Amino acid sequence: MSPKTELIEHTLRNGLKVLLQPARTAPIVSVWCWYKVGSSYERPGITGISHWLEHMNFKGTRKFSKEDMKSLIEKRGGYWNGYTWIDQTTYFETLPKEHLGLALELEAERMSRSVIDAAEFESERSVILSELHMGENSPESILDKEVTASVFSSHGYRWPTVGWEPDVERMAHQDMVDFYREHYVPSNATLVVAGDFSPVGAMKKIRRLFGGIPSGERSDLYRTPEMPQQGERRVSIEGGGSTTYLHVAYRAPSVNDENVYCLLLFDAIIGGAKGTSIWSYDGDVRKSSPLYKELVDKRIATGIRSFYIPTRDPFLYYFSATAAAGVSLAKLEQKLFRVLHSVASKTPTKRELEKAKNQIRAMSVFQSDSVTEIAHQLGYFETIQSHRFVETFRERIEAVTAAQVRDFGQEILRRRNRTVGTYVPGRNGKGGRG
Amino acid sequence: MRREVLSNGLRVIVKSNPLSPAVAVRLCLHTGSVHDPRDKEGTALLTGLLLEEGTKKRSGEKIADWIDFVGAETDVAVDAHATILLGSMMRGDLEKLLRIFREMIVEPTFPMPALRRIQGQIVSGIQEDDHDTRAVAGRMLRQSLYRPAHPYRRSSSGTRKSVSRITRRDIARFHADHYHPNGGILVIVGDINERETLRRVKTILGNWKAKGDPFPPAVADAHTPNRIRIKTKVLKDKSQNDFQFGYVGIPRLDDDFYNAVVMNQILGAFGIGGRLGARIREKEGLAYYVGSGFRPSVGAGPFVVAGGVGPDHVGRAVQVVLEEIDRIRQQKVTRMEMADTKRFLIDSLPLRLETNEGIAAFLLNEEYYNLGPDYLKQYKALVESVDRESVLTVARRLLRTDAYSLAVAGPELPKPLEEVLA
Repeated sequence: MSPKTELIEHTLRNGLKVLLQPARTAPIVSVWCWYKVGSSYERPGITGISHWLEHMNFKGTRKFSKEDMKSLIEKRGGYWNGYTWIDQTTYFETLPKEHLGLALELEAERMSRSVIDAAEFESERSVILSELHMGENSPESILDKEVTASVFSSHGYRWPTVGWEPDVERMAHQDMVDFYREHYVPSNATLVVAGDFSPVGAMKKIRRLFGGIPSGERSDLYRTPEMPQQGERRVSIEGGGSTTYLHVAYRAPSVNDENVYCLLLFDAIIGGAKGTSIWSYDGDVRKSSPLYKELVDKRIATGIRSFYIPTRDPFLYYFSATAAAGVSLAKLEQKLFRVLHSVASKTPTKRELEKAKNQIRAMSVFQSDSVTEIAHQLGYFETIQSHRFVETFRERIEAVTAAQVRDFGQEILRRRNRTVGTYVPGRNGKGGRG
Repeated sequence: MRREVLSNGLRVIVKSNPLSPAVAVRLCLHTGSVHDPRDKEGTALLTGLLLEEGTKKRSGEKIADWIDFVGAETDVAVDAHATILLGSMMRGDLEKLLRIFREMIVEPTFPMPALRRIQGQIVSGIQEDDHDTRAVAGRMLRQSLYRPAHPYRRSSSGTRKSVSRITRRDIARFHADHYHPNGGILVIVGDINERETLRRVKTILGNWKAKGDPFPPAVADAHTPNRIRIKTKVLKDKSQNDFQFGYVGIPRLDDDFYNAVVMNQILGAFGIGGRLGARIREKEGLAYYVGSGFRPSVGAGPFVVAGGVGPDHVGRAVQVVLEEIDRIRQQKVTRMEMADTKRFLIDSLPLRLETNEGIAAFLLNEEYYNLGPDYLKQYKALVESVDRESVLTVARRLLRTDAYSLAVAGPELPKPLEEVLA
């Protein structure tokens, strides 16, 4: 028995896209409001502004003061949050169904009536810097940032979502106000509701709350495309601790590329399926996968993860490995490439393909058992392409052949398509072992 | 929902939830790091992690291949008191998974190569933690709060030395001594027929022989040291410090549990980190994350305030923590804080019980602590019974400004904390 009924889609006159997904898992609803703006839409000087703006949107609107906002959702038994990534900024509330109207009202306020007070903006600067420094405490997070910046030269995927530190230090309040006005408009947004609610009643509320918001000009979605990579790139970091890390990034297909499905299957074969939700992503490879058997079982690495999530423009297929004690980086790197190329060189057997498809099927069940996850997936894909990606996903995966997986595996794993990053402890870091 | 205690003492709870074609399983045994032999800390964890690596009937490779072929997910979690096997799968795969779980706990083979590999993985994790400001601060806090023999002083991973000392014979002995069904709990939630599932569970696990004590041994009492203890560890290449500030808390079955839950919410959890978040993050902009939490367990787990702060602001952040602790000990919380927190704790229940995983976790907790079959109904009344007086009383019982432990890891601080806080 599926808790879901048919998805209902509307577009208001001001351009706001509305997706309503009734699903009776429990007497609750989840409301997500998505904006087609994330760190890749920024420019040098204001990197990190989308993420900082997301913080500001928890600090009061004209109707809900900062004080009111603090307890607005929790005191009704709900939880709320938001996140910013490369292509998107989003906010959500999951709460008992009788408070659907409140969640919608909060999102309508955020869209057009956020306060963005100058003093609050200043106070938040140090909070953002603390978040940025928290990331810098992690060797793998530093390496990830450096590798990503090496892959992209022209595209806005180059800088981290939290921004470059000097930009965060210098950004002005007016930059934030301008950015908010430009991007937080109905024509640049998608509102998703999933859960136990009446679509007719919800639509009435949505029209009343959002219908009067001026359309605004749709954001300029142009971003400088990244030109093809001409050869392998390498970046190496030295720092504290006693652990060695290897990261390898391949430029990967965008959501609009048919090869998305081949890559998801290739990754399922080589490392195990992980689903397509950045919200509940777990990159650890599975124990029966070639990556685990060849690297972890044979004690070359103590752990290995792989990552691929479809994005609006071509982003990354990413591997991160932790070297086992006594194993050199050169050996780890050589072994990792050997596994990757060995799998890519062969056509997957019927059983390997079936196993990969079974995993992807099961993951999509596990990752859609809550209204929060259901609403997230619809909004995520509508923001970068179309929610239809979710509807057609299973059949598109089923249609991929073993030869297609092999051919694409060989294409993506070309040497000139990769960037290799290494973290070596105890050399010239700011102090070596603490 | 059906509950039955098998003749070997295993408590079985099955609940049908037809909304998703999947099933969640939790199998909880009363063995954890409290049972670790001295100088071989980490044995319980290592034993738990080795279960999937091979049984008399199947090699580890075969087990992993079947689990991955059907797209199931499994894990083994070990803490001080319990080893829990977790599984999520499509409904048609439940029976085989239960058979594999049985083999894993009854007849594991602990192959040597797997033992060496997992030892290496645990040691590597400990080495990474040695360089992680939050992990280092957490470890120093536990060592400051609990005496050397107390199990809550250490993590279930053990130490580099203790893990390296563990032999296959130690693992086999640990398994023989501590893996038995009596008092264990099996919870199955999902798209199942309850009666049929219970019948199959009896066939698969009913003849697993009972042995030993059904419940974990009691944990020694622990009390917050009667003075201020400050420990710092410099990790030079870090960008900011992590601080952990705390006390010995209470066991889960303490009469003050609900009072403490409400007090913790108001102090450092509700909304964006409660009162602590409102001041340290929102008002003064000192930290991205700050908040309080406590881990009531079979024994008195710690009550901790934690935050990530730049070296110039650690002193100020801890001053604010002390001011807020003083305030919640001196004055009753407001009526509005009480009302909001209670509504959150009561009205959020449907969210916690939405998925198979959520329901399974709730039922396991209810059974583990013997909270009674009406716990869900009583929960509301238990939360409602907390009042402003009882929050004040529990704050005075658990928190002090003249005796606490504080651990800080990260870049060197500009001034000794003792000086700043004097």
